[in-house]
Amino acid sequence: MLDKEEAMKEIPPISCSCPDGKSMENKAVKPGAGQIFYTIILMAAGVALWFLIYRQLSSFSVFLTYSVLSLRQGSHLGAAVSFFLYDTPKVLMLLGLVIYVVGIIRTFFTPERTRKILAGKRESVGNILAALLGIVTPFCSCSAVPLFIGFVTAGVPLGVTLSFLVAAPMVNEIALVLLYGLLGWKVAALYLFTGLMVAIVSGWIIGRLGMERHIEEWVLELRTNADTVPDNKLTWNERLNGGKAAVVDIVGRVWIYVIAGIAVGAGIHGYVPEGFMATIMGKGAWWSVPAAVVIGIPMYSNAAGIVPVIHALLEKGAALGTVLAFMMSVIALSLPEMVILRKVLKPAMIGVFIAVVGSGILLVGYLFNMVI
Amino acid sequence: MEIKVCGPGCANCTKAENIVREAVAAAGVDAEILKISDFAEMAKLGVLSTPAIVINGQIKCVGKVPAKNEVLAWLKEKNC
Repeated sequence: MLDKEEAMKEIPPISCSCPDGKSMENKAVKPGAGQIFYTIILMAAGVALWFLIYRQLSSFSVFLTYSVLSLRQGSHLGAAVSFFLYDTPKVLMLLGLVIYVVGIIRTFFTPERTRKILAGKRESVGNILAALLGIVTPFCSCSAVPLFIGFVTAGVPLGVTLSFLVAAPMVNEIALVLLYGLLGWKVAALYLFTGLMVAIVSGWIIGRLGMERHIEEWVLELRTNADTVPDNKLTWNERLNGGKAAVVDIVGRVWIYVIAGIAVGAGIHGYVPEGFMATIMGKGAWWSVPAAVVIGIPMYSNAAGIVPVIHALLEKGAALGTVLAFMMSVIALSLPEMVILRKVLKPAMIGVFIAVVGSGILLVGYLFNMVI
Repeated sequence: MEIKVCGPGCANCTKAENIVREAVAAAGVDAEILKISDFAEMAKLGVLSTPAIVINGQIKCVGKVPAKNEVLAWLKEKNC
């Protein structure tokens, strides 16, 4: 026993949150006061440089398009190219910064800890907490099933679990960053608020409906314990490394979608006539909101690909409510995730889930078309 | 030693399994590596997100592909 404890001391980094591999090398070194000071200076310089470059992007894209490539001012191609050259670095820079910060925040939250917080919570409070935790808890849709089982079998109410499962993909940092960067803080805030509301209310309604019998029997027979929260005491150095790993991982995965999305957006920006979208996606077309939701369900894209397209659609006269409904439907109700969830939920339950969340999104769409 | 790699079979899970195999081979330890893709069993082990590595019933890592160094460290710890 003593031997084992000695060994534990020698190799302390047995944290269960698995930071990136590189952090291993740094762990032996205890950061001194000088090193912390150095790190802070370095970060401040980095942030300053980031803002300096960010401020210049607009004029740089204009310079590249019309001076270096010498495209004609006011031409379709010129408009498309400058849109692309402006949005791509802007979005990638915003993503890098925010994912770094969120990556650090996420080292404080694990699915296990979230489960511990939610287990045994009353429904209404639980739904709100679950939706909020859905934003900061690291989650990927591959883990939807083990997470669902782990939550439900440890005594997290079904409706509360579903609030989490709706909020986690829908209200994510990538969606918010892109909306902020391309459409401004008001749209981003609206999205955050209504996305949370849809997650909270849908989960609450499904909880009220008493759908527990529509969970597959083998799940209900299991019992797990919410108290087994693996220890993750990380040093600040490890948390910073966690942020870095998140940037490498997420930007590495989504950059191609971002660029593809921006390219489509640039095409729409340059070539689709002004006001064209107003007829099919404008406020006047009442059927456009349900159509947007229905089209959005089988579409599987992440926020990174969909926001630049939305940006361009809005510019050409599409209504905000319709566009937000489309985006929510694409990222929150995805067919692949439903197929995965089918392993633990019976078809009736999946149907109710889609119907309730879909109606919530529909409501959001109509509400915004009416208000704005 | 019994090492369980939990994952439904997505790209990251396969990556995690390969890293574990490499590490075991490199460390030259005698270990049985099991791939767990059954969700019920994962839940019993206490795994909430995948890929996860469980060594002798103890969860070492969840929700991330571990680095080879980390796996080597876990193997060493058990040998002591």
